[in-house]
Parts: sequence; C-alpha cells; structure tokens
Amino acid sequence: MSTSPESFLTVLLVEDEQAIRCFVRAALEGVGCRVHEADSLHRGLLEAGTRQPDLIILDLGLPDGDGVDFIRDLRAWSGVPVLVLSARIEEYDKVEALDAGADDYLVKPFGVAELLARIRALNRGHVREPGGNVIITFGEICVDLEHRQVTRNDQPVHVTPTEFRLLATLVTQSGKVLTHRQLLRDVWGPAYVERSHYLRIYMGHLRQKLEADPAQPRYFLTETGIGYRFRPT
Amino acid sequence: MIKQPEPLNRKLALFDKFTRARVESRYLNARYRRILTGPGLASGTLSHADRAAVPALAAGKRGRTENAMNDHRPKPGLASSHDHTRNNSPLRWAKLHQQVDSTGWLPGYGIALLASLGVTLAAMPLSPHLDHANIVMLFLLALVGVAARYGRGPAVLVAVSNVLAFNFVFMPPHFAFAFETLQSILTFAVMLIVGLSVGQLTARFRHQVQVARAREERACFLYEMARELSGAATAEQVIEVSERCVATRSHVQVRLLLPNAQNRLQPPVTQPGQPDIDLAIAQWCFDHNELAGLGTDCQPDAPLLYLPLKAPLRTRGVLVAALDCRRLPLLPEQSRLLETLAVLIAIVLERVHFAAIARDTQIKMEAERERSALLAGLSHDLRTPMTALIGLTDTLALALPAEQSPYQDSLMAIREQAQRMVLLVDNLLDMARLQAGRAWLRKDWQSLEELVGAAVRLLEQPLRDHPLRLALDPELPLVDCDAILIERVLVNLLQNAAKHTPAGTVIGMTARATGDQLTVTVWDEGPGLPVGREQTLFEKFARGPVKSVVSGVGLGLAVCQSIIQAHGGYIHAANRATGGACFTFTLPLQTPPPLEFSEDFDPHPT
Repeated sequence: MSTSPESFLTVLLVEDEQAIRCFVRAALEGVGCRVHEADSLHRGLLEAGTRQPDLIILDLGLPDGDGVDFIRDLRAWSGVPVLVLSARIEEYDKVEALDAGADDYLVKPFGVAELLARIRALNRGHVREPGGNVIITFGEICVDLEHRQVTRNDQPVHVTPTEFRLLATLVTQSGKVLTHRQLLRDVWGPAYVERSHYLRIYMGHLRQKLEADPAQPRYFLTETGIGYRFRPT
Repeated sequence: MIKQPEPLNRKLALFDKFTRARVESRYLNARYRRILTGPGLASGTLSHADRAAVPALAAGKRGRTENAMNDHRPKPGLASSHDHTRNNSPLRWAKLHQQVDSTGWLPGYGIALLASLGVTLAAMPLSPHLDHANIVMLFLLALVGVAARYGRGPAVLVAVSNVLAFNFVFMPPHFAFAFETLQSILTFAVMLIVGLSVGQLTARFRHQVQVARAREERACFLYEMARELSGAATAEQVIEVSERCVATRSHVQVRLLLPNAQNRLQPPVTQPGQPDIDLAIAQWCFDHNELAGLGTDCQPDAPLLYLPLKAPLRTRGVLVAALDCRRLPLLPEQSRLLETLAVLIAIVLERVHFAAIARDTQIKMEAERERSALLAGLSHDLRTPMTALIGLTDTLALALPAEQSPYQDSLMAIREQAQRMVLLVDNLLDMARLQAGRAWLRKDWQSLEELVGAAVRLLEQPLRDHPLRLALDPELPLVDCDAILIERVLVNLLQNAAKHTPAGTVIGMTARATGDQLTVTVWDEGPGLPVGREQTLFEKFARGPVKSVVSGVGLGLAVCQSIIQAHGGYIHAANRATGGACFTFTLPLQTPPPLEFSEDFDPHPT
C-alpha cells in the first residue's frame, strides 16, 4: 500500500461529524496519508493556511457557515484540490461548490473504496499540469492537443472545432467534475452558460465518435444534474 | 328562498308583458328626461325638506325600507304615503319628479295668488303717493320672489294675476278692467313679458342649482362608498360594507353575489323580509356581462335589477339592486350611479382578490421554504449516521481479511442492510419532496441516452448478474425534464427488475420518440406481475407477490409515478406476452431551442 500514488499526501479533513472523521482518517492513514482534522469552516481555513495540505476534503453541511464561501476564500490564494462531501438533497449546493472551484464531490453515504478512488484521480489530475502533456492517450484513443488531431486505433477521427475544444477541455482536466456552466463558458463562451442543450448535443456527438457504446460510456461520464467527468481507464 | 329558473311557458307568457313594458319605459324615459332638463321649482323645496328630515327619521327608516323591499307591486293610493319621510338619497330623483307632478303644484300656485293679492292690498293705500311705474316695481318684486321659490308655473300665474290686479285697481278707470287705451295694453304686455322672462330665468337657475346639488350628493355618496370600501380586506367585508353603505344612504337595497371557483354564483344567505334573488337571471348577467332584470332587455319583468360587476380583468360578481317598482323607470343619472357603484365594487373586489392571491403565494412560499429546510435537515441528519455506518464497515472490511476473521460475512451483511436503508431514506425523502407539488421541478433539455448511461453506471453492482440489452433509438430528441428525477425513475425501474428476477435473466430497455411523446420501456424475463394488480403496484407501500421472499418497501414505484405525473407523462405496468414484466413511461416532447452557434465559425483556427 505504501507504494500507491496517494502515499505521503497531506490531507485536511473539514467535517463536523466525529464518526465520519474517524473512518475517513482510518482509511486515509491506511494508504499512508497524513491527516489533519478541522470541525468547522473557520478552523478549516486556518488549518488550510498553516498545514499547506495537498488535498482538502470538505463537508458542505457544516453548522458554522456556507462551504461555498470557504471554497471561494480558499481559491483566492490556493489551487489545492478540494473534494466536497454532501447529502444528496443539496444537489444544487454541490453545483455551486464545483462552480466556485471545488474539484470533485462525493455523495453521502460513500464507501472507502469510492473515497480512495476519487482521491487517487484528483491527485493524478493535479500532478499533471495542464499543457504539460500535448498527447493524451486513453484506451484506443489518442488526442494530440498541439496538432488538434484525434485518432482511434491509429485511424484519424474527424471532430469539428467545437467538438475538439470540448474534448480538450475535458481531457486536460482528467478526473475533475466539470459543471455544465464551466464547460459552456470554456468551450462556447460566457454568453452561452445557460444553454445546456448545446452541451447535451455535442457530448452526444463526441460519444458517438469515441465511445464503443455511447449509452454506456467508459470515458466521458455523466454526472446527472451537475456536469461531466473525463475518466481515463 | 332562491327561485329556480322560470319554466318556458311562463317566460313566453311574460313576453307580451315585456314588449309592453319596454314601450312604456321608452315613453316614460322621454318624459322624465324632459322633466329633468326643464325647470322644476317645487323639487328644490322637497329636497330641502328631505334633507331636514334625515336625522329625525333615521330611527324609523329600516322598517320602511324593508317594507318597500317586500312590496314590489305598485299599490294605488299608497304611492306617496312615505315619500316625504325618505332619508337623504342620491337615488331619489324619480321620486322627486313624481312628487312635483302629482301633488307639488298646489302650494306654489296658491302662494302665487296670495302674493298678487298681498301686493295689491299693500299698494292700495300708497297709490296716491306713488307713481304707476313704482307700483309696477312692487308687483315685479313679488313675481321674482315667487319665481325663485316655486318655479315657472306659479311665476306665470303671478305675472297674469299681477297684470289683472294692476289694471283693475290702479289703472283708470279704477276698479274696472280697461284694455282700450294704448297705454294699458302696453303696460299689460310689458308686465306679462317681464314676468314670464324673470320666471323662466329664475326657474332655470333653480334647476341648475338642483342639478348641481344632486351631482354633489352623488359624488359624495360615491366618495363615501370608496372610502368605506378602501378598508375592506376580504370579499366578505366588501359585501358587508357595500350592502350596509347603500342601505344607509339610499332607499335602494343591494345584495352582492360572488362566483365560486367554477364561476357559479353562490346563493346569498337570505334573511326573512329580503327579496328573493333569481339565481338564474343573476348567472345569466354574470356570464354575459350585461344588465338583466327589472326594466332591461333581459327579463324586464323581474322584480330586481342585476348589474354585472365589471372589473378590468374579468367580471367579479353581480350586484342585485332592489328598486321600488313604483318609481320606474330609472333616470339616466340613477342607472349611471348604479353602474358606477358596480364598477367601484368590482375594482375593490379585484383588489381584494389579488391581495388574497399575493397573501396565499407568500404563505405557500414560506411553507415551501420551511419544507425544504426540514427535508434538508432530515436528509443531513439521516445520512450522517449512515455514512459513518457504511464507512466504518468498510474500514473493518479492509482489516478483517488480514486477520482471517470468521465475521467477514456478517460484516458484508451489515453493509448491504445499510445500503438498503440508504435507498429507503432516499425514497422517503423523494416522496416527501414530490408531495410538495411540482414547483420544485428543475427542468432542462436532457438527453435520455445520457440519463440511461448514468443510471446504468449507478447500478453497476445490482446489475452485475443480469445481461443488459439497451435499444435506444439513435436519433432521440432532447427532452425537457428534471434530470435527477428522471434518472431516479430509471434507477428504480432497473433496480426493481434486478431485484425481482432470477440471476442471469436479461433486463432490457427500449426508448423511442413517437409524435409528441417519448416512450421508455424497461422489461425483464422474470416471473412477471400478479395478474390484475398491475396498477396497484404504484400505490405507496405496495409490493409484488404477497408473500414474496424479496423484501423492499414499495415506495420505489410510487416515487416513479409521482415523478412522471409531475412531468405530465404517465406510467403503467404490464406482463409481456413472452413472459416477464414491462414498465412503460412516457414524457411529453417539445421542440428544443435551436442551435445558434455555427460550426463553421472557429475563433481559434488551427
């Protein structure tokens, strides 16, 4: 276990519930992370400043304030990945948190395996700086960001300029949940953030071209009500 | 006390009477218009008398009004018995003019004759000292006085009697009529002309004063009504205030009829002594937005007058006015006043209506906010221990294999039960949210293919023993729906299929767009549904076979049904001909917004 990529990460856990802190700490320490805890947003911000964590796990339902404000404050001075924990009913809080700069979310209740998988994905995405890699390969697909070329089994795949921008936006932020708003803004421009039907149609095109079964995608996953996630496997 | 619509034969019999009544009313209208525009000196006096009588008679007023209301048919001989004792009313014009016509002329003419005689007697001893011209002045003075007080008729009488008296007493030969000389003819003519002109002018002036006073009274009445009504906060208060105000300020009694939600007028609570309201006429008046009843084109023989309460947006009800039949037809001023009253009440009703809507909306919003807060709190409180439970089981599960523990199976069972608990909590919370109505639907243009993909990914574990056969039309249009809820429907249906069918059997899903709806079917190859109970499955807490070994509170399908119905679709269950169950739901399709973004345009060319 000590050889896993998440070893020696410093994780800050902001969660008010003792029992949850307990098992998350156990799970993280099991894979070799160093864990710092905070039971309120205020305390969390202080810890984030002093401990310089590699990852923050933040519960959105804290009694002393809005988790979204915490993320906005944090993003003013730090790009550290943030994993948000939330109860399902707060769907739109989650979107808000992701729009504010959170990287991923987990719905309560979640299992240890799920938690570790998310942390792994976030850590990997974070280590690889965007633009560092100009050729991204997943499965039989190869995306050349520099030459704007996509191949599948070494055969060129025709993608339109908009489809390519959407593809590039997704694959350069591997593992991260990108909200509808973020994708529309980055691919089409700020005037299009409310027109989510564009996204549905172009994601459909991309899946038709790059997925074996578009109805059961392997790489371009739907986060219902929230956005999309690229998962290289 | 509410009369049912009159039978047809009665209506036919009345037709003849209606025609007659309309002809009569046209004639009478013309007559009253003439009266109103011409000088009516005596009515001014009556007006004053009425005004003075108000305080003294206020106590006895109610009884008389009720009497008048009961008594629709004219009774000869009683017609003017309490005319002088009416309270001060802007609706009393017809009455005043009838008074002038029938009994009001006598005192005026008597006083005219007395005035002439008085001036003659007074001037007789002065005649040796006065010139004839000055004696004529005295006669003119009397003429002006009578004209100002009693109007044109008595003024004419005074003018004539003055001429005669002057000629008889003061012109030589004394105490004999002499019209031979040019001088006497001239005096006679000038006195007559001056008398008539002065009479005419003063009478017109009097009439104008009277008209102005009546207008002021009407304006005052409306002003007071408006002020009283401005304080009304509910429709009941509007009814109470307007009925009371009109009753205290006039001898007309009004009732307000308001419609219910189905636009049917509600019968009022009728107290004994109040006139019967014909609900059929009232409803006609409300539906057609026209005057009906007494003296109008529709049912002119009815005892009451029905006015629609026309507000800017719609008709708000009907104003029923009980007028005295003896004083028909209405003067234009009177009917205009009634119509203004109706508009005033209608506008107040509209204001009250929208105030009520605003209040209701506010209450609903508050309730909605509280419900959301409660559900969010509940969700948080239920999920937190579940999270800890599942997480801690996982932690243990990671540690136990290393210790070769015999409790590993128990641990897995705990985890599975916890997961089921989570599902139950989800369904309960969804159900609670769905009960709140459809305000919370967060619709957007969604791709069904995506939702199916997301649902299948969520069910990776439960579906691992079932081959999945998806047959979605490749060109499915976008559908306007709440993604999370429709995903929930798909998850529940697939999960049900997985739970109720043996391992290894195929589960399938088909989707196609037909016309204006999207039809999605989830089918399986399991034992099928109990025959005849297909629809009861959607009831809360219903389960499949009665003593099924498969557990699970039947909230899942009830949630599906609520979600689909909130979207305007329907869901039903059936058994397939080839065995197994199938669940089909539909969603309405609309035209998605166009794509304005041009693919040819590329802001970052390669």
